[in-house]
Amino acid sequence: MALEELGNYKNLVVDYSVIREFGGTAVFWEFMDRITRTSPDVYVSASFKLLHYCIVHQGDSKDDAAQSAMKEFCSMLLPLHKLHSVQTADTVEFIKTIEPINDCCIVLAKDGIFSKRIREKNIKIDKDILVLTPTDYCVFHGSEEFINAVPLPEVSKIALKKAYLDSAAFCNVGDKVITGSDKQLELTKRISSGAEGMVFLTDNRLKVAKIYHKNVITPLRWSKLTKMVAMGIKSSGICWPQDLLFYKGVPVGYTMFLGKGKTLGNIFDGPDAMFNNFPEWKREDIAATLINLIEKYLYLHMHNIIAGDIQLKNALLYSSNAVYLIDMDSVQVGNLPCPVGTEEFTDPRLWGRDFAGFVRRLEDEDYSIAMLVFSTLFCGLHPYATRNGAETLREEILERNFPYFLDNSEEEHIPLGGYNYIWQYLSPTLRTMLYNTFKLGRSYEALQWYEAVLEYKDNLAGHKYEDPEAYKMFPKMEYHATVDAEENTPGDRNSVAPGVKKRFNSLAEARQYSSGIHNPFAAAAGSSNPGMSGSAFSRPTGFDSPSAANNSPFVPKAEGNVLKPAAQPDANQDPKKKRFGLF
Amino acid sequence: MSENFSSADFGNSTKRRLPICFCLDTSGSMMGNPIKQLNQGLANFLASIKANDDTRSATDIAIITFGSSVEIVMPFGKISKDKSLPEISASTTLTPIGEGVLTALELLDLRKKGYKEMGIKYYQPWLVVITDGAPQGPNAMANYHNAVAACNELEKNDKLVVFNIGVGNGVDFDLLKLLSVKRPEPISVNSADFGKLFEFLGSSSSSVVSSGMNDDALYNINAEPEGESVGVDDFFNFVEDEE
Repeated sequence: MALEELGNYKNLVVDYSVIREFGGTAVFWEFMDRITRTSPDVYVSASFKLLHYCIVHQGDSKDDAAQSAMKEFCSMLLPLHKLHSVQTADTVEFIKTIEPINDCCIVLAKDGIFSKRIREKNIKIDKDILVLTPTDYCVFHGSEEFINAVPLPEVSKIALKKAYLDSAAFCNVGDKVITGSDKQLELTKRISSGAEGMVFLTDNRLKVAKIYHKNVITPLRWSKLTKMVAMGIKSSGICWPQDLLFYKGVPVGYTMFLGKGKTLGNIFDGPDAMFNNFPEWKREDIAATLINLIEKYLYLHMHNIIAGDIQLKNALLYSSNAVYLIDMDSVQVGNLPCPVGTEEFTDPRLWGRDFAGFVRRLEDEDYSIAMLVFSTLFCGLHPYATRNGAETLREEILERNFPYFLDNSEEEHIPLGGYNYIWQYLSPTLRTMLYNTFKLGRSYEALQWYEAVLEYKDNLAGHKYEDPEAYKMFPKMEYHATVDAEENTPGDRNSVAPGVKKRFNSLAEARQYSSGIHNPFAAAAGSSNPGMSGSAFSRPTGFDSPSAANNSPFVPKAEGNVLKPAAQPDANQDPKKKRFGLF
Repeated sequence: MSENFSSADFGNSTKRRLPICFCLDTSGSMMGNPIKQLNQGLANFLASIKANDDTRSATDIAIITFGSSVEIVMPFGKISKDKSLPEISASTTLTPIGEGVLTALELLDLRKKGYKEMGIKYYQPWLVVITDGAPQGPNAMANYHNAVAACNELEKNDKLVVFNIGVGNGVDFDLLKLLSVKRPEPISVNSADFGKLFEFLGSSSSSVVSSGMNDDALYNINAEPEGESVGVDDFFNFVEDEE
């Protein structure tokens, strides 16, 4: 393959999938060679940088080539001022921005996020699209031709096969199972048991074994596990299947790395749970945790995977820097669907459908990511948890009964416990995005959520907010940890004697219901600005101008350091701040 | 009345709650081994709820007994770590099931009102009725039919899940069946099987709160795995076909 066509264009739009999927391969060197020779102007979206953060932070050795490729790419283009970044992570917005560029070709990989977004949204593009594959490439003239030639996948037939493996093979502690690569592994201790199977420690210290219960292994499950193992994802924060397991020649389960900590659902479960687990935490730690999570889901998206069943209990949290995605065997891989999902976290458009019967799209997952953002920022609360609302959560969701308002004009339906203050103190960008999503039914791409939470965290880390309340896990609330905070659960009716200490109080209880509470960000949020235009995203000031290079995030810095994210989550345990419960 | 709801009564967990009200027969015929088994079963049930991270703060339990009178043995409120269940005893000859069920419905309704007032999400409540006989006592029949009507109305509208459970062979199953319009037959158990029954209730509640199991599945106890059961060779053929 010679990629001669690339020489025909003065301008290239390059998607990050080219770096991630082809870095280190002959295709990439060929590509770089072409660019070196013809020296085109290269345009990328904000996703280029953001997705690279996700790769870097997973620290998976299989991505080393992508990291070197990125360095190569940037160090070649930046000194020449040929790399231009469009400051948006929104696919439609990005396409609109690059529209006026003539003599331009878009270069991407078929199953990358950008390619999928174009096809899912059926975005009209009048430019040539060059699709790279490991051995070949193909040029399409315009998005219509591209979308017709590369349709979104149909669900694999194996998903529709209603059958399950019936065998007498049953293994337990002490038994020796055989991996797909013919290694023997002994199950040494059972550590958990769930609806689908049990997890065992093994004589390999690093790996645990999930052994399914009888009648749980379906052809879909096994094909998927086989495919997953072949993908070789080894990031420690994603408990990905590493090897298949057989017992007496029969499929029984798989191995994975062990995650640490408690499930997110048990930590992000209101003030008691938050303070009991992380008394020192600030808003910044919550934001860091959320960033960590979104990065992992984006990492999966880059691999043509849709998590499908996102919910707080499918992640373990050890610290804000150590988060693990678990229960990965249910995810959608390529056209092998994720058969499960919950009403709370799944886009209501998908309710009632057989999850095993169709291939979920990236846009289907955007709602779940928005749910994750809200419920993490609100310490476990559901966006549609409302006071005096409808009879069922279902109705609340369908009616988009979101009790928060951009101008804070009404708070009477917000659950008690300081959640109104959390809302007031969020960044204007996040408030607007959450409001638009849950009240107006708009949707944002996962990358946009990532960008917005990064901004929020940077603001917190950089002390951009004047009001000190903005930094607290629960702004304007006072948490009195009493001895019985651990011992006694507050809901126990029998413990509610008159004069029992109320352990979680508002500093401004009296004002709780008054409208128009002073909000330090109200002006910025501006209820008159329900759309995202303007404040939230800065559009480039024209990359044709000489100043364009300064707009780029790829400002040449110290070598090898080009893409270091702005602020790394700090070690969150600061020893000098041991003030349990004294807020 | 909403002002009476103290937040301490509900805890500050953000979990979606599953209120379960047990309505238990403590008439004389339950004396001896059955009541012992019942206590043991309940205790194990509560222990498993407490031991499970998913159910601990999500499951909300109350217990009512009906014997000589209707008694609220344990009102609603998150199960606490150290409170153990009061011993339930059987002693009388009356069986006011209807009154017991009506009281249970009242408790559940009040609890739901509390959730709404607090802004707590909840699953539709469960009513678990366990009896070994038939309604007995003054106005027992009339009250039972009132209770049946109230239950049916809620259940039809997906606002209540009913477990009508008969113990032993002294049960009037025709009458007990009336309590649910969705369950084809009452659940019939031997008092020796209380352990299994409560295990089933525990794992079902865990399925609801952790994986959002559909309420309809609760009416189908002997769920077989879906599809065709195949041996290893056929299984691999399936998998390979696709590849």
